[in-house]
Amino acid sequence: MKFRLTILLTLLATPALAQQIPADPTSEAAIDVVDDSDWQDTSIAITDFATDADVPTATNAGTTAQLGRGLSRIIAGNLRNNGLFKPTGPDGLPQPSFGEVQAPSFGLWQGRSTEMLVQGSVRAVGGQIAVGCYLFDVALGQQLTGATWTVAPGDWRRAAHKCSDLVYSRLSGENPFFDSRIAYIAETGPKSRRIKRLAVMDSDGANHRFLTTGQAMALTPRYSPDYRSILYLSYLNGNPRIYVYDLATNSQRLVTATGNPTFAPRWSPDGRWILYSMATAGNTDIYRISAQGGASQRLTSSPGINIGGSFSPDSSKIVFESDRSGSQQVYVMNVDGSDQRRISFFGGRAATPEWSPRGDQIAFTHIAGNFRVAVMSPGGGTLRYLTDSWQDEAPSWAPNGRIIQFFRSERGSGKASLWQVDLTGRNERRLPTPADASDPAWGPIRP
Amino acid sequence: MASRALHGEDYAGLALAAALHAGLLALLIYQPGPARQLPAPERIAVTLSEETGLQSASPEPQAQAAPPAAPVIAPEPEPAPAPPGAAPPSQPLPKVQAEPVAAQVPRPAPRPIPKPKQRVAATPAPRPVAQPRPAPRPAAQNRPAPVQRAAPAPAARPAGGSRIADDFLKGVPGAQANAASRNPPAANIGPQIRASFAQSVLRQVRPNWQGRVPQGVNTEKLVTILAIELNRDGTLAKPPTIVGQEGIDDSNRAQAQRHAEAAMRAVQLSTPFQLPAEFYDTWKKLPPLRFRKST
Amino acid sequence: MNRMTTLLLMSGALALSACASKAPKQLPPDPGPATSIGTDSQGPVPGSQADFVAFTRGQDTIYFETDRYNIDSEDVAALTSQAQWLLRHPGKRATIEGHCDERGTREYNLALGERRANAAKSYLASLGVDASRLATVSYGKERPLALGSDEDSWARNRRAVTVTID
Repeated sequence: MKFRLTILLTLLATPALAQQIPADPTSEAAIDVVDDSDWQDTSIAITDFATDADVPTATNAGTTAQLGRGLSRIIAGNLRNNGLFKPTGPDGLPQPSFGEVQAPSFGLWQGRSTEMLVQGSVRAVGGQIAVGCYLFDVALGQQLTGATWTVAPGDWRRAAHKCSDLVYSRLSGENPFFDSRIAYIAETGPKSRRIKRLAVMDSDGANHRFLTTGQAMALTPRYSPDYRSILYLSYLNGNPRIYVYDLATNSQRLVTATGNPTFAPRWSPDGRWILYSMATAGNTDIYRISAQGGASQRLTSSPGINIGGSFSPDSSKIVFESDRSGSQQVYVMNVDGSDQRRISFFGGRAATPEWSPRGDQIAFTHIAGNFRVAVMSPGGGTLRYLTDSWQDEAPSWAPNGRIIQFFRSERGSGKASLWQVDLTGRNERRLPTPADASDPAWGPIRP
Repeated sequence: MASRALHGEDYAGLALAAALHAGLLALLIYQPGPARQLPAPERIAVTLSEETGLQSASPEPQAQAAPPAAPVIAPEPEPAPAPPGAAPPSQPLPKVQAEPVAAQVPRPAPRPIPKPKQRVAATPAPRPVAQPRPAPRPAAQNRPAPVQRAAPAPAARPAGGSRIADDFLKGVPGAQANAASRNPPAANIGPQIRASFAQSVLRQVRPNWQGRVPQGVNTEKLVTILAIELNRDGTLAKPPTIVGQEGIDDSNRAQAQRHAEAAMRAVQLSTPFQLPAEFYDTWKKLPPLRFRKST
Repeated sequence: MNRMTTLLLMSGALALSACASKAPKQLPPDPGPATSIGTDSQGPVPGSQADFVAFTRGQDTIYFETDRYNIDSEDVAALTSQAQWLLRHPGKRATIEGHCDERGTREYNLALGERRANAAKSYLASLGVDASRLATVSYGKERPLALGSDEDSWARNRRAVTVTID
């Protein structure tokens, strides 16, 4: 009975409602075009970069023609693994002549049902290498973008990264990130006595170099924004201390001379400030010091462990980790240490917060048994997991703020490896390294 | 609203119910339009054309022949009431978008997937079996309402437009062949016919938009609204213009331009549009297209 | 001096006897710190690390509960034994190594290991050992003793190890 009545009343009431919402006589209903399919990777054909004259170069790739193939291979490799593109080539594709680089025969490519086409040129100019890079929309028969660079022979791979960045940015809307470098900790040896060395490499793993021998354990590196130095923790002389490693001179200095252990070094976005954490009588607090040296300013003073710290892109705030509530949680404070507020309330523990270079997200490690990389808004909004494994730890951002790098440890063996995942949680992939690896830290895009 | 209740007063309730029934009956009698009812669970929003075709406007057979593409599903079931039109009742058009919902489809006509052929069978019935998707609120689909609507069945309606609408809803090409005379009186085109061209454009654009919303955080919130103008041969008279964009926030700002670009590309890839030239004036300038991700 | 130590031990044990035991279920034969030196047939040289280990009957290590750094009754016994040895060899210094299990993040564990080492150091100091003879170093989770990824291994890795400096 009651149910019936309800329906009746509803029926009666609805017409009345109708009178109140008159149709707008001027607007006509728009045509609603809805994408209800999953993202389709954009197919991109990448041909050999053509040369006007096949001549020897001072690069380690060989002649300009060999260089041309090397460049397109790097680009294909870059674009392959980030989940947006389905690159093909250069192998197995029709190759353009030098004259066709900027005037592809679209009909040919339409026939091969590729959506986009990347072509390029490479020339030896004086002692330098001139590289051109052009992106075409095959279906529309249009050039979307193009650029040229002149690089020193030793930097030839950077031209490929610049071209990858051009294509990636044009087709994703995101800022570039391929032409960047990564500092990390290379790990070898048994779990109980693992050797940990500071190492650097290009974003694609090339130009790899070990910076320390492994005699002193190295941890938690951070590239300076100008790529000139690296902050890291070393057990040189037996005690954990933070050093600045100068890449030009291969020398290092203590960030601050103290009898106490120092951990968790961080740069400010402009490279003028350094954050570090120092333990005193069991308590750990966060300090700020000028990159030039001088006196340190203590930013936290609550009992317990306050550690880490990551600047907001405008350098006005710092997000950090503290166990003052009883367990590791994420807090935000002003850059002078005032107004410290907890922002993580997700259950479990929240650690290693890192502010996105774009400012819209904070990446962190969420601990609830397993470690998972997650993001939240700077206000501490909802948690969004990006990974799901046994131990994924220490996220750091790509320069464009859209890709996160972290390290994953295997249960049991403890073997660690570097991984990337994009901000949507899709497109997880392992970054190849010569040995086991941890603590990845991405430097900014190179000029 | 009606659920405030009568605790145990059965007699009163019965009496009230009877009274209400009577009232409803009366209302229905005087209310020529389709019965208003609860928000259709199918979440199909409908556009209403205000300009009612006074003359019978036959739909263009060719254009209609193709079954409508999968209807757009409005994100929320909006209880949009139909306007109390005195004249030809509102024509529920299947195609639609979420916002300017003028009227509610009286009966459920959800078509998650464009499967026109199968629906043909169902056509004859005034009210084809609704393919209820996991209907949010099955109970809410008031049976009573449809019954009322049955009266002004396709055939009964004077305006060809309304028939088209119904056909669309049912996805019945056959019906159109019958009703939509082969001789389109081009002179006076009903808004429904115009809407049918919009449908046709949608069918042609939609495949080029699948999987094209740029990847990224919150890109599913982006909406790009494009206006297009066509030549008689179905090509673009000029490049699509961006009428507006919605849903931009800090996270998806970087993709907003890409989104618009992808939408324009989808339009370009759909040209030339296959539309009947004799109705060129009708579809020369169609309603704007709203490009978005399903929600 | 001995009486003093015993007194401290008893009071400490009393104060902390309420604490739940958090030591590993079965303590496997402690392999000892990597720095420990094997004993020869004659027995360890008095004042050596080996002598320290022998004197403390292997209790050169104390264990902690997950995420904790407090000293409980079992720890008190071990630390008291360590203090006795240190008080007998006033010329010897010691380093206390703080360790964590692998279930914390790297940087936090460095700080937590330091906190554990510091807790042991403070307790030894409270037993009369001159704090200036005691150093601490944290290895976080970087130097596990037990290599498994299970409760038992984790319990064995949450530790503070006292290593004397010969």
